[in-house]
Amino acid sequence: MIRVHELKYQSNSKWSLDIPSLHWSTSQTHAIIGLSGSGKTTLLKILQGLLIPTHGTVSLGNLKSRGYVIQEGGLFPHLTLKENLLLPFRSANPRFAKSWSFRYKEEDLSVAVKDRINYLLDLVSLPPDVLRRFPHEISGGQRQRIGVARALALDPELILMDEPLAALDPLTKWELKKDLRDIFDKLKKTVFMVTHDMNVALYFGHTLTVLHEGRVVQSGNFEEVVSHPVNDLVQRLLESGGSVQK
Amino acid sequence: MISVFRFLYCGLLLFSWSAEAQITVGSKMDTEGRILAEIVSQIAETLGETTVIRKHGMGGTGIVYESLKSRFIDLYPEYTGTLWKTVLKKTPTAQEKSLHDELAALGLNLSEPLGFNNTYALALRQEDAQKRNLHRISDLKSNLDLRAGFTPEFLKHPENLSALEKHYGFKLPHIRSLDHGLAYEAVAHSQIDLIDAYSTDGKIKRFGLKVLEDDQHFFPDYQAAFLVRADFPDLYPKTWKAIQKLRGSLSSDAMAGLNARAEIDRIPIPTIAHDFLQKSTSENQLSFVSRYINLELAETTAAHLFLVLVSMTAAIVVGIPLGIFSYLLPKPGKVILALCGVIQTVPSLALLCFMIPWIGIGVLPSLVALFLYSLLPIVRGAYSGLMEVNPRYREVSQAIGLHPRQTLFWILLPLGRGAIWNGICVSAVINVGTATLAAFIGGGGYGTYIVTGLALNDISMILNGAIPAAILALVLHAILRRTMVYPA
Repeated sequence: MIRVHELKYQSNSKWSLDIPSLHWSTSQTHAIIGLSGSGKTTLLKILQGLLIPTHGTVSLGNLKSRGYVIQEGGLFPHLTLKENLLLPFRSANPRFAKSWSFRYKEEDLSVAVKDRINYLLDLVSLPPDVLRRFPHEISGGQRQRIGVARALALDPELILMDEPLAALDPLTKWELKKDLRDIFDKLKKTVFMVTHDMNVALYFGHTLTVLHEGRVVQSGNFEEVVSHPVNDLVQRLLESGGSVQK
Repeated sequence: MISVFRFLYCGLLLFSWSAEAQITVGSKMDTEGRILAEIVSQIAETLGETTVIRKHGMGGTGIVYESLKSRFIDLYPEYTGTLWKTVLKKTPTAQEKSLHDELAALGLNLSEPLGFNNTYALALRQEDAQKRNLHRISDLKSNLDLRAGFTPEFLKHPENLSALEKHYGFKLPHIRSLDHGLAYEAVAHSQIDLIDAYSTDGKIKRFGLKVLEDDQHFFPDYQAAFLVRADFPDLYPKTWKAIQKLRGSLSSDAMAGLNARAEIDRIPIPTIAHDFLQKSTSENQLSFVSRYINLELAETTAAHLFLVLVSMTAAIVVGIPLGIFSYLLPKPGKVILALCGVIQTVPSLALLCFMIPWIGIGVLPSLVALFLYSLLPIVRGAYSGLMEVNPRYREVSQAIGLHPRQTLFWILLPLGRGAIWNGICVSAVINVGTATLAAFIGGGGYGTYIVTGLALNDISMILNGAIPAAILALVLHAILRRTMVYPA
């Protein structure tokens, strides 16, 4: 169980994030939705540990490790895809942790790491030869797949995604959407997905949390929210998602 | 490469002043000072009591005097009037003994006067003098429309111009401050009409100028002699005795003749000095000449590159960590950036002069000054390079668990390398240009041509230094630009 309690965060905008109490269950995908500037990314960063709340507590229960994916994958442009993918392994390995350079030697990679990389590539449906390339040499959808693979590298228990499907063309988006849900179903991970697109939220989310100007408007199971929207904003957001199908 | 090492070796020699049997002869930038310094250098070498290091043409009175006091040079030619006014800051008295006493109190000693009096004089174009019937300084009273160009030393010292005006009872309304070497050119081309000059100046004849008679005896004596520290006669008794023997050996006319040979006939100063010292029959005249004309372009380039490369390397090694530090700790970082900015605003020549009492003259203070000047663009480059990295990359680094050290070396520095490299490029170009000033304090490099050219009023000599410096800056910039691989 993931809980936040009396959570407050003062950002630079006119409102502050203020969540009295909220909890989500594990092994499910939770969509956090809201308009631009509603505080959804702030909440995600607090769950990730990138932001320290000004007040209140965050408990991740027995979930220890976290993986993080942002729009376009958040790949480093000066690193090849392989170097990008290796960063979490190298950072965790004390042998390389003190290295001045991000470069690696093929013979320094253990069999376990090589196997893991092959597994991850297979999981996100990418051919192994793509790894030699740089992020700007591949498509947006492929970048996002590498980003997901990198987040999953150390097999985290919690995955946090910020707009993973934004800025993709419709066909790529649809394919990635499908593949991502298959991955989540297969791995049974706890996933938080921030999006402004109700279509995406409804497609992935076991639960929906609607934020507006730093406050939780409604939070609950998918069916519950769809059948009983608490106000006009939620109603309109649901309508923007079109035909509700899971 | 060999010349670089040779230069390094020379630099080391210059700083090992602990070696006893070795004196360093300095001089100001003017031709007369250089000739006198060369004469005394050749005398000392002929005697063989010590070896001689030549630091001729170092700069103005302040630089040379400070260098003598700080033991970076051992003697240099000076004038009694300058010692009174600029060094002792007192009114000269007639007795020579009193000056010796004053200098002894400062731990200094002055050789016997060489014989000529190189006092200040006011000069104007011959034809103007005829046209206006202007022959004496007191005649200036009725010619106040003349445009004057005076050296800063003459202009600023209260006992020079303002005292002269008071003494004669007039005030010149049109006055500009000009370098001595440039003033002759300016008066010859009628850009100014009246200049201050020295009575033994070889250029007065060359430029067809007339010296105004000091009819009310305002200008004090400027007897030339060699200034040393008080311990010099004991340390080098033979050399000192030979210097004392020069007493009265150079009349004003003879000195003006030597000056003219250098400035008008362009005879190398070692040759002039050697000819003057004919009695000491020296067989290896050529070696003197070749020693003086060591301004071979390759060697000068090596010396210049040495200054640039060493100071740049130091600036990069210190500057980039400072830039990183400023980025990581913004509060002390702001102080660092401001300090580097302040250093940049100090005029470079002034910075060089400030350092003489502490580090002396030559290569080392030049390197320190160049290092300080190169710092700001590099620190700023590193700082802004890091600042310009999209903050989301920092977040992602943190989110995938990179240690701050790894974030810095694996992510931020490689991503910010464009601006970092840019700072180094800018710094290198500034450095090549500023390095020409090192010659003013004996640091060598292309500036040697420029300083010598200024002193000898030789424009082609100045260009010999200025053009290679500009080319070097462009080449270095092109190389650095090409080496940089910009982030995708």
